[in-house]
Order: sequence, then C-alpha cells, then structure tokens
Amino acid sequence: MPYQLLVTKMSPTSYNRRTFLRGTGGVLMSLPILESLAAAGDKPSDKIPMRMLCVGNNFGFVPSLFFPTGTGSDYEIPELLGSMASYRDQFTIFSQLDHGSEGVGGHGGVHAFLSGVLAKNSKGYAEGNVTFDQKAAAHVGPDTRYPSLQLACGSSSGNRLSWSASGVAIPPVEDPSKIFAMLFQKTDPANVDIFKRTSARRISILDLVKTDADHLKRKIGRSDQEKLDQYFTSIRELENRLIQSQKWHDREKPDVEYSLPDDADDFDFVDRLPLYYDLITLALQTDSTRVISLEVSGIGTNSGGLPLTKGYHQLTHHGRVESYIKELKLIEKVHTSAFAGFLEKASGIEEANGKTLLDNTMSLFGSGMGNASSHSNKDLPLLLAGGGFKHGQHLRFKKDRSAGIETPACNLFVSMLQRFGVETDKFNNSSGTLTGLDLA
Amino acid sequence: MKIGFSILALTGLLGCGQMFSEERLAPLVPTFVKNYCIDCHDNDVTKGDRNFLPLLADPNGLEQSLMLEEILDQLDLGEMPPEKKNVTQPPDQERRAVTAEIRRYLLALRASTIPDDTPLRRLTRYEYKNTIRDLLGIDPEINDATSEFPEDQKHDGFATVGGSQVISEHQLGLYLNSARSYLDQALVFELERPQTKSFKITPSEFTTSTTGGTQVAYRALALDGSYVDIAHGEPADRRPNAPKSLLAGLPSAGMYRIRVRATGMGRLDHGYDPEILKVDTSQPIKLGVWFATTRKSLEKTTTRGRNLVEVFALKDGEPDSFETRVWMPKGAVPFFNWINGSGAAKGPLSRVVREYHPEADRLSMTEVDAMRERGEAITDEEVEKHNNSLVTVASVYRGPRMRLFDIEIEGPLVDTWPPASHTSLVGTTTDAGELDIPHSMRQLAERAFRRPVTEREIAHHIAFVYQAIAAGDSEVEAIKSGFSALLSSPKFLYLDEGDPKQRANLSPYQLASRLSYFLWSTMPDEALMKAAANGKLVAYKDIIAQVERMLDDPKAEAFSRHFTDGWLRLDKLGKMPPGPKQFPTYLKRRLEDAMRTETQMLVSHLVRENRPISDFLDADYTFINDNLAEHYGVPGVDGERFRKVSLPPEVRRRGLTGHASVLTASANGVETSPVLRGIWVLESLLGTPPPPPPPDVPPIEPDTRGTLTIRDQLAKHREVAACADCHNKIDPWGFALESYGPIGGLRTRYPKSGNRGKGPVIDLSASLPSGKVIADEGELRAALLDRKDMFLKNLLHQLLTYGTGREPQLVDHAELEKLEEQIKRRGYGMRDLVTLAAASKAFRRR
Repeated sequence: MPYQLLVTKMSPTSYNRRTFLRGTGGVLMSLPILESLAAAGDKPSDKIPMRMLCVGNNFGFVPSLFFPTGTGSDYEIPELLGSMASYRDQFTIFSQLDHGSEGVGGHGGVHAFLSGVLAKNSKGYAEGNVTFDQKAAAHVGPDTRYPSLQLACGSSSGNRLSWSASGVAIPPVEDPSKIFAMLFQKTDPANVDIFKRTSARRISILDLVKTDADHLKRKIGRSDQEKLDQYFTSIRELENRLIQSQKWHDREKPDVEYSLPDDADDFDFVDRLPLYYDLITLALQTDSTRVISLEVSGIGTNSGGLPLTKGYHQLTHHGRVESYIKELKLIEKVHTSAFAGFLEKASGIEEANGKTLLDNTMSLFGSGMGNASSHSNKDLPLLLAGGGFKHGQHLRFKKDRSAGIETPACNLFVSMLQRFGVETDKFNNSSGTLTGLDLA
Repeated sequence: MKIGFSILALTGLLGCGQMFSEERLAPLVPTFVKNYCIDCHDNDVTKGDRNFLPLLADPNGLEQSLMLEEILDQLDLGEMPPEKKNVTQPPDQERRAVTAEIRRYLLALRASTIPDDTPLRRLTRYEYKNTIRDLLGIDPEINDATSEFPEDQKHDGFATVGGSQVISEHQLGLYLNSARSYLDQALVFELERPQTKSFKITPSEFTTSTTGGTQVAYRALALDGSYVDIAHGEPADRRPNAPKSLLAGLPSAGMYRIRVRATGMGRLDHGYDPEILKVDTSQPIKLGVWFATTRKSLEKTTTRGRNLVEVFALKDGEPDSFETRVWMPKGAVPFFNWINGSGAAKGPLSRVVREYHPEADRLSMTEVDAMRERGEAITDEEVEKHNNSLVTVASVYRGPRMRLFDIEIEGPLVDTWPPASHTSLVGTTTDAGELDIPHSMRQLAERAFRRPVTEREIAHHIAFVYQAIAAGDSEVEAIKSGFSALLSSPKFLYLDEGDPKQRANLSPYQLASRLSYFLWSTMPDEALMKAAANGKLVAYKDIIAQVERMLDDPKAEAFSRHFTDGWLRLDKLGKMPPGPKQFPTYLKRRLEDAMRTETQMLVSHLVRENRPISDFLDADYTFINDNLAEHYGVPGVDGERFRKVSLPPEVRRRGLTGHASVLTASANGVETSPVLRGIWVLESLLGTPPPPPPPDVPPIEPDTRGTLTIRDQLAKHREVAACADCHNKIDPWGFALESYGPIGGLRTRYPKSGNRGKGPVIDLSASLPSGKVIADEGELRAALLDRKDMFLKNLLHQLLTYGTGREPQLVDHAELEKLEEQIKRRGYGMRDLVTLAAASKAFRRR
C-alpha cells in the first residue's frame, strides 16, 4: 500500500534544518517486495516473516527519567518517553533486568548489551560473546540480501553493538548515504558481471589459502591447531557469504521513492538520527534484511545541534546536579523521540498479513549502560515495542541479590529469539524465557 | 599478580582439572602459613576474602595451588604479613625458604600439566600495515585499507598475545580487499610515467569576496587579489579552506611538493581589548597544510580522511615561503587552515565590530527576525540604512588572522619509473606479458612468509594464475589475484613458529621474525634474513649484535610506540576523549598526539642512551613542544618540534607519573579517580595488579554537588570490610596524582560544582599499605624509587610478554632472576634490559 514516510515530529523546539527536511522527506513507496511475495503465495500470512531491530546507545538514560514509578498497565508515562505516549499499548518497559556480574565494566561493559558477556570473558562460552541479533541473523540465512545490518549514528570503536560468534565486533555502517546505497542503489548491469567475476575469483583465492592452511596445520603444535581452526571457519563462512551474495547480484534492488538530502551524512546529530530510522523502516519493509542493529554513539563535537554548554559524556557524569540533568535530558529526548518516530512509521504500514510492520518487528530500545553517572551496568534501560507481544505495561522484576533473586536480561533475548523462530531455550546466562511477556 | 607467572598459569591449571602429579609440597609451607597467616585468614576472620584452612587440611589440592600462587605473590612483594603491631613477621631466611619451595612445587606441577609455548599468533593490525609497507614499498597509512579491520583483542594492553587473538569471516574478507587495494597501489602495469604538473593556486580560489563579514568562516580577498585573509580555524575545522580548482581532486596519485607563502597578521598589534576579542594569541599563528583523501572529508561534521601534512608557525606581518612534500592519492584535495585559531570567527568578529567598528556592523535577516520576534521595534528603513554602509569588515578589521598568498602544488614527482614498489616486486617491466610468473610469485612468497619457499610449495598458487589467464582474465588481473592470495595466506598472516614437540627453541628464521616483530613491528629485513640463512643468528653474541643493530634503526620507533601503548595502557587514549567544552585545549592544541609523542620519546631516549630505568620514575627532563609546554606551564618552548627540555624546579612533574598521556589514560575524560590511577601504578609500574572487584559491589557514584570529595567517598567505601582490604592497597597510590586533572593539567582544587564558589582543596597525602605516609607526588616518586627492583622485574615481564606473545612462565623464572641481577650490576640501563631480554632463552624459546 502506498505509504507516506513523514519526518518525525520532535520536541517543540524547532531547529532550522528540520524545517528544510520536512520539505524533502515526503515519500511515496512503490510496491514493497513483501506484498508481491504474498500475492504469489497461497497463504499470505505465512509469508510475512518476523523482523528484529535492536537499538543501543552508549551512555544509557537517566534512570529516574526513563523508568516509570508505577508498574502494570496503568503506569504513568515517564517524562523521557513522553513522545511515545500515543503508542503505549504497543510497547513494554522492563526494569531491574541486567546481565548480573557478567556485563560489568562501566563504559567497557556497554558492548555486552546484546550478549550479556564481556568480550574479554567470552572464552568460557560456546559461542563467545555472540550477540542475540546475530543468532537471529544466522536463522534467516540466505533469504534476504543482507543477513543482518549493523548501523551506527556516531562512532565509538570500543563499544560495538553486534558481535559475531567468533567473538569479533562487527563494524557498523555509519553514513546514511552508504546505507542508502547498500539498500537501494541500482547496480549498473555492466558492473554486475564484474562483481560476479570478482566474487568467483575470491572463492578461488579462498581455495588456495585453504591449501596453505592445510600445509601449516601439519607443521604446528596441537594447541596452535585450535587457533588455525578459526581461520578455517572463517574461510568456510566467507565462502558461504560470497555464494549467497552471488545469487543476489542478479536480483535488482527494490525501488523506493525516498531520497536522502545530498548532505545527509553531514547533518548534526539531532537531524541525522531520524534518517537512520527512515532507512531502517525502508529496509525492513522491502525485506532487504530482517535483522538490524543501530548503535547510537556520541553526538559529535558540536553539541549535535543542541543548545548545550557541556559535552555529552561530561553531562552523563551528572552527579545528580540539576543543571546537568536538564541538558542531558535534551539529548536523551532526541533518542526517544527518534524512536517514537519509528513507532509512528512502522505502526502506519500495513503488511500483507493484515498486521502492521511494527507488529511484525520486535523493536528493542535500550542500553548496556544502566546509570552512566555511577558507571553502573546494572538495571539496564530496556523497552520492547511490536513483534506481536502483549504490550502496554511496565514489568518490574524482583531483585534481591543477597537472596539470589534476579532475572537475567538474557531471558528477554531468549523470548525474542523464540518469537523470531529460533529453536532455543537458552542464550548465554539466561535462566529461561521472560515471565510476564506474552504473545498478544 | 603479574610478577612471575600468574594469570596464564592459573587458568592453565584450572583448565587441566584434577590431573595432579605425584609432586608434594614440603611441610615447611603449611607450617609457615599456620604460624604467620592463619590468624587473619581462617573461617572466622577471612581477611581479603582469603581463607587458608583448606591449605592446611590438604596442601596438594587444585584450589590450594591457586592459593599458593597468591601467597607467593604477596610474599615476593613483601606485602604480607602486614607490618602492624600485633602481627609477627617471619625471619627473612624462613621467608626465602618458603618462597623457594612454593616456586619449586608450582613449577614441577606445571611442567607435568600444561604446554607453555606461544600460541600461534597473527599479525596485529599495525604489524600487518608495517609489513605491507616493507613488502610492497608503499605507505599503507594513506588510503588505509585496514581502516575497517576490527580492533585487535588485547591481553593486558598487548595485541601481540596469540592467546587473545581472534579471526572471523569478516576480517578474512577484509584481508582479501586490503591485499588487492595495496597491490593496486604498488604495481603500475601498463601505466605510463605520469606527467608532473604544476598547479598554481591564486588567493581568489578561496573566496572572491573582498568584504569579509561576521560569519562563522571569515575569508576576505585583498582588493588587488594578492592575498586572502582567513580568521577562523581549529584542528577539526568545520570550514576548511580548499582551493576551488582542486576540489575535484588531484588527477593522479604520487609525491607532491606544496609551496605556500603566508604570514600571520594582527596577532600582537590589533589594539583591541583582549577581553572583547577573546582569541588566544599566545602562540604564533600557525598554518596547517592538509589533504583530504576525497572531497567528502571536507564536510563540516567529519574529520575522517583528513591528513595533516605539516604545521608551520608564521611570522607576524612578514610573508615567508614554506615547503613540504607528501604522497597523495588520486582524488585527494589539499587544503589549508589556521590550525591554532579559535574556531568560528563569528564570535570575536561580531564583538569587535560592534565595539570598535560600528560603521561596518550589519544586521542579518535572521537577527532582524529575532529582534522583531522579541518585540524590539526596528523599521525596514533602519535595516536598510544599517546594511547599506559602504564600510566593509575587511577594510577595518585588524585582529588576528592568517594571510595566504600564492600557493603552488607540483606533482606527481617521479624520480624513477617504474617506481621502487613495482620493481621490487616484479622488476622493471610494466608489460605483464613479459613477466616470469613463477619467479615473481616465489620471490614474493619468500619475503611474505619470511623464510625460504620452493616453487613446489606454491605450485597451486602459480597454477591459479595460469588458469585465470586461460579463462580469459588479463595478465595483470591474474597476477594481482595471485599476489593477493599469497597476502591472504595463513603463512603470511600468522607467525609460524613450528611444532613445540619437535623443537623447543625457535629456528633461526623463526627467531628472525620474532626479533623483528618485537623491535620493529614488521618483517625482518634482508640483513636479518641473511644472518638466519648463514647461521649467524644462533650464537649469543651474534644475536646481541643483531639486536644492537636493530635498535639503532629508525624502525625501532615502532617498539617505542607499540610497547609503550600496551605497557602504560596508552591504547586507552582517545577511547573516551575529553569533551571539547570541558577541555578545549585537548582538541585545539592537538594534545592527544603530543602526549603520546612525549612518552614515546622518553622510551626511545632511554633505549638509545641506555639511561637507567629509574628515569621513568623521576626524570627531571622530558620531551615536549610548544603545545605541551603550555599545558604543563613550562616557559620558553616555541614551535611544534619536540625537544628535550629540563624541567624547572617549579614544575613538579617528573617521570611517567607526570606525563599527561598517563594521567589522561588513567582518568575517564571527565573526572579523575585515585582508584583508576592507583590501579595504573600497581599494574604498569609495580606489576602487581589488584584482583578485580567482587561482582556485586555497587560502583561509586561521584557526587559532583560538592558535598563529598572523591577522598571522602573512598573513605566511606573503605569502611566496608569487603572493600577495605583491596582499596587500602589501591587508593593510596592514586591520591598523590590527584594533583593532576583528567587531561593531566596541574590543579590544587577540585572543580567547583554548579556556577559559584571554589571547589574543595585537594589533599594529596596517603598512607601506603606498608604504613609509610606520603605527602605528595614527590614522595610518591620516592616510594616508587624504593621499589626500583620491582619496577625492573615488571618491566622485564612486560617486555617478554609483548615480544614473545605469551606471559613468561615458571620455567623462565630462574633465568629472569639472573637477568635482573645482570641488569642491576650493569646499572639498570634500558638498552641493556631490552637487549638482554631479546637474547634470553625465554625469548628464544618457542
């Protein structure tokens, strides 16, 4: 169905750029692939896959502004989430969930957000510190052009959101223009041939180096062979990826009537962040990928276009000083309003199974930082929207460490993985699925 | 617990389960524990969460061996038993007997259980780049093909430790890409010698406006077009100045010469009130010469892809010519800026114009809008009148600015064709059809694999090239693919050190690589390979001679850089960068690079001059340039060049504990913590890292409302028994360093909270675990100097970990002790230390 992609309404303060954006953002989508897929199948509803979006920011949110005081379904919307108020029946807020002693490390603990395991402690885990979005991506396999997409607004190489099963952080794509090109820029037919030959050549090269690795394996010690096994695994996985992408060379990228402003990469934080959600919406809607993670890092060195007197990091060390929190709130509201914008868009798109894109997309929003002011990775801010769950509540989990009562945040990830179709009842330090989170 | 052998040993033992040998601990150890330890470490008291009763019950269990490691550490350090009134101290002789027995026992235990060789290790990202540089003869930093590589995993700061490294499908893909992209840079098949061109840039290429204005970017062309004045600028320039004719990028890659005529203007003789102007004019106006790899890097919110070529300090009102050379890729855009300017010109200019030149003041329509919004009456006529004045800002402004005259860029400068990168790989022909493919392949493989290679070993690679040609690929394409494969082979990417079962020590070629990556972070050079081939890398004196030669080579700078980064954890610099609002000089004066340079130069200096390692603790000299001197308050240091400077007595900083690099890396960019700095002293200087905090302790939330200082909070923290044991050992080492702020600036008070009043005065005193009270950082240094031998032990340990890719093991212990004695006898020289470490058996062991 035709869909008008509107640029998010944000806080009442108006910044110059936004006025301009309203002019260019209006967009008409052509027929999304999903719909054509559905039309071709017998039972359309079976054809609409579940998708997953994980948004993580590096500094967390001021707990008193993020978490509601009341629980259950008649909690009062906290100030920071005001922009999401009209979708309150479409999301759930969780409190007192975290990774226990595993995800602790201040700023160095943030990267455990989606895995529950610090990179440096990952050796004891079968799949290292793999993040659950990557478990989901492995489940999708070759059905989409990209098994998953990692995006970042701002860059912080030490705090990657998505980690592969071999314990390596996956570098995200940062520039909106690059993301757009990956998703929608058509490849010149002349180049398709070149691409194909290049990837065929790469597959041959992998054969050659595999022979070298076989040689090497005979010469080295036993403990070294484990190290080399990682190399073999990498060869195999890369081969698979190349073969998968070869198939996609022949298929045209979907048409969208959306254009990024020319200098989109150059926008200040406050104006750039909503663009990522635009692109995410389009990527999901066209089934270019089913798993996306978005890392929201610093706001840049110029206050991100906000009227601030101090740096973002400095503000997060607010020590509960009012003037700090007031400025910090401006930044945090940009995060939440942009996400609210996504909720607005995704809930306005009807898909062939009669549900909205939001219903078909589990959308997680939170951080591996619990309270930046004390560098605490406990009690993570967590919010889940969509995905066909019964929402509209604030679930506060019992916590009494001395009595051994606590709920791992990984339980939420298990619930989400199951909903995604992954047959698993465990993810890292989970103790089960998340109680209280039921299907609608 | 870095002294000796711990972490690997510990995990190793744990990994091997209960498979214990017949080895038994002599009874003197349990007796010792019973006499001197058990009072505080039993079921009832359990100080430091340590209970040694199980050790008395069964001295030979698995958990018990871990306790023994800890006990050994504490005894070695002299930390335990604590020197307190009611605690009996063991006689030295008894202490020595016990440590010797524990050591013997653990060693025997380990020997029967775990291998202690270096796990197969891969080139780190910087090693890969340096190797590419030497293998292909190109500069891998420009057009950096490794920029997307995942960050190397580290073991205590060192990326060279094989046990911590990982590789993924993603990274392998990037290896394929980068090999190809670097080969494209190195080889010039079928290319003509490029024509050297001269690009003459006139000032009007930066702006054609002669009026100037109170804008963010101020560029004003002289009325006769002979120069352009630029009054905005900073390192991360939001409005960089690029010449119009080169915005599309240079037509070809190569070495270019850039000549600029420029001068500073209005810095000293502007006559404006500094309070109104608010521009820092303490330094000469400096011209930054840069290039952007593509035009995109000139956009205002990015600094990615911008390369600083050179900085020139300009004279005041006296034009001079400056010249620099740099290799630029195709499509690069050279640009220029006032690198130490005060950012946007708008603020200072509008203040000065309003105050001193009202006749040139203009009202922008936005301002008019805002005024009307606020209800201020201003008629259209008034606006017109205001804005029709003929006086331009450029004609009246006499404040600080950079003046550029003509600029000439010439290149690519081609000395030889084909370039050395090409000839060293495939000889002088640029016709791929003439190439002896098997020969070139073998030659590259031999250098890439760092050992002799037969054609047979790479027969499949050679066959691939011929097959590709047969299948219709061009010869150039096929050869480049073949070369790419060699550069993606595990034989290139990993340091192959053989099978420990067959050979305990490294072969000469393996040793050549280990030495080379230790001291140069790159592949061995021809001389080293020759030495390996001719049996000249076996005898002790031959190895020493090679090490000496290598330390004298400029490539040894890599050691100062990468060893220092890991040892002092300077790899943390830039991870949580200080905010530009709180610490403006950090960016504006490019302090991060300067800090790193200072510390590296100190390390290089000690190595070059064989200065005693105690200089690390209390050198009364350092290496700084104008920017860092300003940060430190050292007078009389002009210019960008780093030089050795004697520190005047009033500047209190001495040695590494006064280096801004260390002080910044041991803070978090916003505030300081004696805990972090205390841990840094214990880890990096004394080699005794404290155990990590128990998992459930809530972190300390700093109270910046000013009611409590960090000292008060820590005091409260230490009241909790569980915290006290460790923090009594950590915090005292950090308090004295509280005299330095988050980026290492000297301070006497904490920052004030809110907007008024003064922050609390900082108290630097602390009582060390031994009971000794220190008053300030001077006494802290004295306490560190008292522990010079521990410092030596740690430094040796760190050197070996970095150089061998594993922590020294118990089997190395006896040799390391001998080495320490030898270095002490020779006067603690840093060069001796590095040389002897490199020639040691522990280093040459697989």
